[in-house]
Amino acid sequence: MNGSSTAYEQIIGPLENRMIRTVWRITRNRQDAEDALQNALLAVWKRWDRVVRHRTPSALVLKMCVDAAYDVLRQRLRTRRKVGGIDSRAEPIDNTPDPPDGLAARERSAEMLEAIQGLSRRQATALLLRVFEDLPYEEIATAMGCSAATARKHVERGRARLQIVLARYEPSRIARSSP
Amino acid sequence: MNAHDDRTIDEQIRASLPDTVPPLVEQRLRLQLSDFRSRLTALDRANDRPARLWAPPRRWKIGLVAATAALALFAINLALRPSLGFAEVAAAVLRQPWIHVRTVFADKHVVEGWYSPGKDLAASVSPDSIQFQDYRVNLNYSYDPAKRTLYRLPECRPAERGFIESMIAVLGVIAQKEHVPGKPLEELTFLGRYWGQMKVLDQQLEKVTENGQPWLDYRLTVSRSDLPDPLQMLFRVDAKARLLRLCRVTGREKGQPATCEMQFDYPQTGPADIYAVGVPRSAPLVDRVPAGDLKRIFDSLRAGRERMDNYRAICVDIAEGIDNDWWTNETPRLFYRKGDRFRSDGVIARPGDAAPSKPAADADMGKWWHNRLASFRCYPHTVIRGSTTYHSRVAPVTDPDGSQHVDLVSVDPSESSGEIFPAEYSMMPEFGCRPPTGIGGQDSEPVINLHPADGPKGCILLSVRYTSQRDRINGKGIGIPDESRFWLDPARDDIVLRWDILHFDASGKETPVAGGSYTVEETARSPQGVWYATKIRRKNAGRTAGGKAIDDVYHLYVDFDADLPDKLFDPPRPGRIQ
Repeated sequence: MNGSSTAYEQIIGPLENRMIRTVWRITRNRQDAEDALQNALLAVWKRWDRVVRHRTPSALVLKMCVDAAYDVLRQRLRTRRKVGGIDSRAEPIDNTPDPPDGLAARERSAEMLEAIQGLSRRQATALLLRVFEDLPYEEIATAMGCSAATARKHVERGRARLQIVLARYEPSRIARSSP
Repeated sequence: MNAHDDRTIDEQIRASLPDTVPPLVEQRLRLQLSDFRSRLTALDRANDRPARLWAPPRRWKIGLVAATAALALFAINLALRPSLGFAEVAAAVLRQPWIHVRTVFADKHVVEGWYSPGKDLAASVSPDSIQFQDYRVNLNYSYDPAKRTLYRLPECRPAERGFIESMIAVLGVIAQKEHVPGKPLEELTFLGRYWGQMKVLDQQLEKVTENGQPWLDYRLTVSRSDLPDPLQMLFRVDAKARLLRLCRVTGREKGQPATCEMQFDYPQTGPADIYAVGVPRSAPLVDRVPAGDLKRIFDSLRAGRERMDNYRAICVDIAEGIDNDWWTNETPRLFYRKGDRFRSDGVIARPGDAAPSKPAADADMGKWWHNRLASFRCYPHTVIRGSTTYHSRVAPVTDPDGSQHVDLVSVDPSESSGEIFPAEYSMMPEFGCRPPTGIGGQDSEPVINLHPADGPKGCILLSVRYTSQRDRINGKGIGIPDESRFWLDPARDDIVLRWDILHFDASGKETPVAGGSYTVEETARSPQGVWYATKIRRKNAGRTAGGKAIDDVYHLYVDFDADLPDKLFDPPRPGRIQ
């Protein structure tokens, strides 16, 4: 591909919205989202040649975003555990129309993120690419450098772990299956 | 667990972590992406950057040729906090308190330069100038030995430190790896690619020991299509410290052998200010950094130039004051802009093309001229990509059957530092009403008159006197005018509505320069709100008919919706104009 800016238009340009949403979903605060995207872009930069030549560059770039956001998330939760229970950088303003619902939603988000952080890196990456980005297993596998079957296995295991958290909030819908 | 269950769980996971990004966060993340994109674009520019290996650059300031390429590459690496491979080694070798370079040119004149990557300071001493640049605050101190005067100027020359950094870092990496680069011209970024004119004939890396000191000698032989003989380059790197110590370029100039040699050392201390490199403390200081209204004007004009939307513009220069079938006789000029890339097209009439009819009085002239372009073959006359300008030259070529066609025969790249003004800026919509004023220039003395007695209504007057004897305007109107006067309209973001250039005779009498008065007669605003000129009159452009002066009037038709593919701004390539 000729020219980095052309490659940007072809690879990153169409992904911009998804990259933003990906890092936001996982980090959920501005500072962390900025850090995650910065780290993701750094990873893209360092592997630019690989990205451009990759069979599924979009999957690879999204994987880098997920990885970067996951790292930031882990770092944040680790810090929180060390410092104490309060995440000083959590979103301070609740704009939801119904604050109690908003509080519950935030609590659920926090628990979900904690559960994701508890997954192994590969499980988390595969699961997030599958669930949030709706990538086929083949593309996840190509981006992660494993087989499609392995990617599927990572997703299934990750999903089973998160199911436990979900069951607490919507037991009627989730509890039919056990991990 | 079946597929239905999976989908349910996935939905719940998604619902737990909604992807509605707050506008402020989205805005900031988009800025990051935009920044990343511009860095990649800078890399493209870096790769396109030509080198001036041999001809000593006119703007030699800190002992090395200006090559922004490396700066762009390094800005990217450093800003993105690299940690591996090339960047890591490069950063390691650049962790020197100071870099000192002593350059001896083929004509034996010597230039010394210092640069501190950590402090972001640079200094240079050459026979005709002493410079001290503080990149942290973007200030340049410049001493003119002839006038024995020190100037404080508002802008550093960003290009000049990049070459040093790149050369040292790249050679450090080669020494670390201990093998020659696979694609030398791509990796030796400070050389640039000289746009297809340079070819590596040979490269070798060998270990040598002299007086017990081990060295790594990297020898490179390149040819350049514009030079009859190849250039031999020797880069000598300290094998232990991995630091570049010597760069020697050998070739021939005017048939004679010529050598340019740069010696590098890495002192612990360097010049703290310009006085430390030989400027007498008694030298009077002239502060040219704009302040107050001058700064506002300086910033406002520059912002307008930089923030102009992307466009395609047709400019038609129609002479007024004579009977002229302009619809047949005048040829349009074509300008394109996309970010910091510009292109101006020359046009050549297609043979056998029928003369057009005079357009109706109420015709949409922008559309009319756009259609008229079909009668011409367009070719890139100049392309500007960042600090690099590619200027093409055309010439008629006779075919074997005796017929003639026109070829684009050569392309000359050149580098500029500071803000770029395209060669035909007075015909361009954003530049035509924002010409270079000289504010911040070493030899320019600006004065503002808030209530001028003449000029367009509501305007303020900026007069800029040129104080140097160098490059003064000559009788043909070429050179820097003795004084320029700009009438600026504060109601339209300070665009220049009238611009006169003047010179003074020996008695000090003011004399207008032929063709040196421009008046912006019509303006418009771009979709982003930037004012631009749509009609500019160049009074008494040096022509008369029956004793009556003829004015040139530039009509500008700007299309902000035009398709502007990136390839439009690729450097021109020699070949037949289709």
